Amino acid sequence: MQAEKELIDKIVAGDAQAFRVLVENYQRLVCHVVFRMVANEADREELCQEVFVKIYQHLKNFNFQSKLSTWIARIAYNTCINYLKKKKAPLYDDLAGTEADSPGDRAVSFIESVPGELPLPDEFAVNREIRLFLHEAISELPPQYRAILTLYHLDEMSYKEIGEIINLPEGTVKSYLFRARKLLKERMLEKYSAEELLP
Amino acid sequence: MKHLSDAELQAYLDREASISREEMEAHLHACAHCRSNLAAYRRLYGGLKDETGFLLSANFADAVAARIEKRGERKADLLELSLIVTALISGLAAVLYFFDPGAVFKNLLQQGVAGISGLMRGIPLLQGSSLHILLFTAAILALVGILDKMIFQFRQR
Ligand SMILES: [Zn+2]
Repeated sequence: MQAEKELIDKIVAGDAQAFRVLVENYQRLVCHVVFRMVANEADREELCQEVFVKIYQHLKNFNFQSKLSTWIARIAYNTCINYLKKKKAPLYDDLAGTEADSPGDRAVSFIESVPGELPLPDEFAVNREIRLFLHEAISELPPQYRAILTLYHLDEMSYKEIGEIINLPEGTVKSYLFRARKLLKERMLEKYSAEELLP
Repeated sequence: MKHLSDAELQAYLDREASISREEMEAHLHACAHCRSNLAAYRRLYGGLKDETGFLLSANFADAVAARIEKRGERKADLLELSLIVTALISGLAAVLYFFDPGAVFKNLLQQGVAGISGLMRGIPLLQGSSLHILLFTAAILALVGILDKMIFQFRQR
């Protein structure tokens, strides 16, 4: 925390090297949020840059009322939401909507197109297949759900921190997380047998 | 036999303290249905931790630094422009303050080309002591000097 304050003071004073350190410390977090929320590969890195430019501009206003990571993730989240609004992507879809279109989704057709006559895929290939299937299923969730899953599982943030980032009460974060994981699990069980899912 | 709920299975993998792990494990040992549910959740949790594809280019920090520098330059350019405008306006104001343009114009009209002396008469201060001329020159030079120094400093940044 103290080290972080010193780093911020240096950046605000105009130390370019200090800002580079901050970018390196937080680029993983920003990348997680942006890459999970924005599907368009061409725009993602540009958006990550934009997030850091905003961080640089507003750092002097950071008041240590929250953790720096929470503040940074909030900027990343809001930048993505604004981007998606501009692209007119549906933002507040409910999970029910995504459940309905499960038959015929792209991941399923990808997996079914694997010719049946080939020798049994090895463990690695099965893992890869499940991973792709999951990736696809996650990408079909509404953006808030994707952000929550990412912040909880990849960045190990608490419900409270996630609530601050996406501006929702802790209880709502918890129930969204529960519903999203339950839905994804059901998708997996529809697609794979229990044996296939065992490690 | 009552199966384990989704909430319980998630709490189990989240390592929440509110559940009894021993009881759950005893049930899982005996129940294939809950075992496959748990296996699916395990896969899901593993997949959610998977960072494959979350990768920025190696020169990401450089790209950000370049973008910020560019913004800084644009800002400095804007400031430079506003300094030049300020200099022009204050120069004009100084001219209007020290000169009497109406009198200059009138004298020029009245005396034609010979009105060079009229021009001199249009500057009341010049008709006074030479101290005023020196003060006037010094003020303009100081103003130009200060603005030039400021512009130079912003270029350096
Ligand atoms: Zn059971």
